Amino acid sequence: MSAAFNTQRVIEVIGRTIAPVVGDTVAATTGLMHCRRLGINDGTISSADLDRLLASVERWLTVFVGNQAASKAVAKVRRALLSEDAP
Amino acid sequence: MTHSRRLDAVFAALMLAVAALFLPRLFVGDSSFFRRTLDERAVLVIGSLVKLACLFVAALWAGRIVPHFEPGNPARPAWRLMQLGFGCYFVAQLTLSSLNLTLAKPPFPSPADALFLLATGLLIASLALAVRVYVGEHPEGSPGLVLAPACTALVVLAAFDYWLLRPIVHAEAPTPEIVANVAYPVFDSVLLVLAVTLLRITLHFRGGHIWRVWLTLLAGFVFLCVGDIAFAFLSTMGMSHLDPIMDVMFVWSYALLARGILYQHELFAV
Repeated sequence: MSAAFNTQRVIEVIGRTIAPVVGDTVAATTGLMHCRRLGINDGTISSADLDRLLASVERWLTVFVGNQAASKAVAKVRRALLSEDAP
Repeated sequence: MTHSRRLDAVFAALMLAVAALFLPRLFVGDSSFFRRTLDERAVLVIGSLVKLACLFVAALWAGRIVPHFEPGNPARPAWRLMQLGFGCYFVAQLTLSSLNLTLAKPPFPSPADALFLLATGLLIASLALAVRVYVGEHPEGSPGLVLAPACTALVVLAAFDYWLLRPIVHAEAPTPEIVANVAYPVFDSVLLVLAVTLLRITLHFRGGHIWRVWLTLLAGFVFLCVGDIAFAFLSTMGMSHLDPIMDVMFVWSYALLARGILYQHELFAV
């Protein structure tokens, strides 16, 4: 995984991936909400911060969809980000 | 057609079939068809089987949901309590159906009523926990989010209960019967307040799978509460000719609750 990701892009991918489960309204705000909670305000996000962000989203999702489904959803986000990042 | 859509069709067909079978009794109950073919006993057997099947599915699949929420997950106890609540409802319905089919005049209240009230208590605890957990994790999570709908529902239902319970309390009936007829609406009102509160919380999830789960479950709880409240009022007033309406409400309630639980279970296959 590369060192930095575009924060807006990460938020979009999170929203797109979890929208079928949580609906468009919540999906659109989830990434941003978790970024704010973690103090991620920059335009780019480091690999370490991405891990923290996805862990935070996963913890939040487990309450609604259970642990396994939350892990699967976050893995999907990670895969999507990696594939978009690939040359 | 997906598996989920097929299940939707099965549940919709079941609910419509029960309504088509039971409701005409209100208008043409004296016809030879309802006296000979679909008599009271046949209706009782069909209604009992459908209710038991739905409650069995709800309890079994609620139990299958629990392991998906690992120990330490704050939502796990809510699903465990829901499983116990539906299980208790199943035993209560089994007891009631057995009494109705074996005794000419089943007692009221009976052990089944104690079980129904216990089951409602378990579901109240489950929804209360779900409200607490969901508010904590909501994007706009704050007590204010739920206070307004909860208070509104509480005031409306308290006024309704006051109007409803007065004739029940003053009815010339044995004390245990009055106590049971008061307990049902009171328990159900608490359940309805929690259902309205959860509806407010899950409104933000509309369009998503979680919204479908809770909307279906909450519709089931609404039919359950309306059925219970109507039962308490109509039985006290001696209006047993309206029983088919309550039967349909309970079947619809249990069917919706079972479908809601299955929706939640479908989430894990995504």
